[in-house]
Amino acid sequence: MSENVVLIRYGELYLKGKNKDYFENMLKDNIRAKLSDISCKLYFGRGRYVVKEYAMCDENAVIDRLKHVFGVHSVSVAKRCGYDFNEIVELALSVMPDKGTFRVSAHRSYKKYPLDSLQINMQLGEKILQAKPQLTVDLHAPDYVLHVDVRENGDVYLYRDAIRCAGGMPYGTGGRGLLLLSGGIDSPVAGYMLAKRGMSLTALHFHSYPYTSQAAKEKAVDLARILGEFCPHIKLKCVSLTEIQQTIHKQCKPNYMITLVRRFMMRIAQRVAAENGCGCIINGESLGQVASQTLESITVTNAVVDLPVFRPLIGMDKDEIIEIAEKIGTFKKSIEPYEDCCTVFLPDFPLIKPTIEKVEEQESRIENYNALIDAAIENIETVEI
Amino acid sequence: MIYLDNAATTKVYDCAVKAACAAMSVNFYNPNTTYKSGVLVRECIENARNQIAASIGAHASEIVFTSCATESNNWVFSCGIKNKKGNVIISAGEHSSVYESAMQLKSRGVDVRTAPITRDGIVDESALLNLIDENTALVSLIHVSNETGAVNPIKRLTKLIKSKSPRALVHSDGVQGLVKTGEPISDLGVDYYSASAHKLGAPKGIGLLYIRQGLNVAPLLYGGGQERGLRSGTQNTPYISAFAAAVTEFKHLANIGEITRLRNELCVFFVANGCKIIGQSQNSGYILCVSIPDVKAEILQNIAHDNGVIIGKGAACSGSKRGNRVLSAMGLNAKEIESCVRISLAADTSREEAMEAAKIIIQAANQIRSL
Repeated sequence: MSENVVLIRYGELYLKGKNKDYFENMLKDNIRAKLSDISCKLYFGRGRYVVKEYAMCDENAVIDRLKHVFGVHSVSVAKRCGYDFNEIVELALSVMPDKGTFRVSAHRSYKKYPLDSLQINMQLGEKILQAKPQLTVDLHAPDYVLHVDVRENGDVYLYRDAIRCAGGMPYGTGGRGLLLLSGGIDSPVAGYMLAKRGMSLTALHFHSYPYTSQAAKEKAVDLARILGEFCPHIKLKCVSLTEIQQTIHKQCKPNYMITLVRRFMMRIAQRVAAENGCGCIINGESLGQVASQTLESITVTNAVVDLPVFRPLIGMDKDEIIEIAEKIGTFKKSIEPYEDCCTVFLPDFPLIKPTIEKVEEQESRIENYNALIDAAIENIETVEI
Repeated sequence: MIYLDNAATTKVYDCAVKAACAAMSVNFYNPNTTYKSGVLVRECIENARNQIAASIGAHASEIVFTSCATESNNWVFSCGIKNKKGNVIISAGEHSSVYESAMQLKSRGVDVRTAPITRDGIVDESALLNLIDENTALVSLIHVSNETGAVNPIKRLTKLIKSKSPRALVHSDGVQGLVKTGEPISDLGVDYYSASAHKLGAPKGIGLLYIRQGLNVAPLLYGGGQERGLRSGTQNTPYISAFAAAVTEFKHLANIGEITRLRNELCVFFVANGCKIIGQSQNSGYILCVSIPDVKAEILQNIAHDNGVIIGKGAACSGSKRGNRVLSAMGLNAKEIESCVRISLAADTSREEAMEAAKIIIQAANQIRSL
């Protein structure tokens, strides 16, 4: 009696040396957590994880969940049977189509199996050809590849296709970073890319209510929720910039607005990062995309923080970023047209080449600079996702 | 909180809540069954239909209950066009549910023509008539603009359309017009008329399509053959009952003269405070579109809300889209559009609360300008 199982393959982890267990254990925990509300059994073997004993109606949900677990390279839906070769043949015939070209690709981790891989390929291939005369063998570019995986625990898995998953490193193995999450297209993608390398995220959203709407803030919550599919237990912290922007508007030159606001943001981010155990700041800047993302602007905003600032999108074109946003499901939400805080008091001609000296001179006009930061941080609102 | 966004939706009247509750907890039976309790529920639906028909000036057999006016509008565009090779005309002032339905037809190769609207927000009559020819299959004109409250003279326009093209069918989206203009539907001469109950003190999720007697329309939904085979699906008895109760209550509360006077008073107040009224003639008493110079409507809306007044900024159905198709068609520039708020009254909005809200809106505008 065969049963459907889902085979899980991990990616880069196999390159790890002595600390491989740490990464594997984290990956196992993440898989367990992701499938916790689906009735199934997990088997963690060497180099292969298997999801068993789930209801057929849950199969798509199992696959979909695993696609959202970083560290999982690919999955396959396989048929499981025992070592009996006749049983393997029977199962192979049920898996294979009637027409086309094929090859058998066997892999034995159970080395005591009476047939070696080549013998399995040949003997099983022969049986298939006998039963399905319209199939032909093509070893180089076949229409179908029948994988046969002989495991040490008495199981044999037969499957055809591998479904590509998120890849990367297990979430939680790469430290914690503070993601500056606006409502736009770029920042969720930036967060995704670092999370993919195993970094846990805390998100920080700046708003300017009443200059930005409640809906704009809800949009950031929704984006954090979508990221939460990949990043378990992500938290969103919302900071109001209203008073800061009003003060800059009254006391500084209009064209310095964006530069000054972004320096405030970075200072606030550094403090929030320290309070939340984040070792870096992540943002969605892409070189030259807007005035605040020129080399000069980035230099000036970066100068106020000591933490490393990761900008995974810095060399990417907009269409490349959009492609990832569509893949991870944030794009549709990101293009909802609500104002974000960067457009409040937007000058007609923002500075594109600010200098630290001139910016500091503008900042010196704000007498209560630190008090404004204290007040913004004191009023942070935390949203559990 | 003073609520002046009644064009978006209205608070449900107590009588409508009671009617819905009774239909949920007592008369909950399936109206399509043959046992006595079910038959009684069917009678409730027919009573509600009669009550609504009497209130809106139609015959009960001309009313088909739908889930909302968006469904009704989609139905007309999907199934209500007799001459499949003919052209379809809409005005530039239509609600998105009509506009998008027409765009769907256009994408399938139908000749869809758009009649411009004037600076006042009503359809440009001569331009409309120029678009009509003997192949015009459907003309769809909004009765009362959800953006500005501009009232199209549907009765006169229908006569002109039919005299130029007798085979053309006329549909009117009456979401903001039903009962509120005081015109009986049968007087308008239209073939189809769509409405949604939640603009009149009933819950969201119930609407109607008026189909002129003698006109045959293919169903949009097939199934159990409810609503004389025109709209399958078990009838929403609680909301149909609430709809009937709400229409009756609305008619009891509404006083067109008073609401028009109140709107005029608000206009005078806003103009005196440097604002501009968008669409000044032929307007519904219930909707007022005001351009408040040097103020972004979204910010004003937020500050007014924090000060106890809820107003709209453009139609809620198009609120999540950039720009405003209808106000642009009226010739407003981007800056004017950005500054437009929509104030919409209920049948029971008092003069005191409306004027108090107006003062708060102006204070909020001054607060924004002072920054």
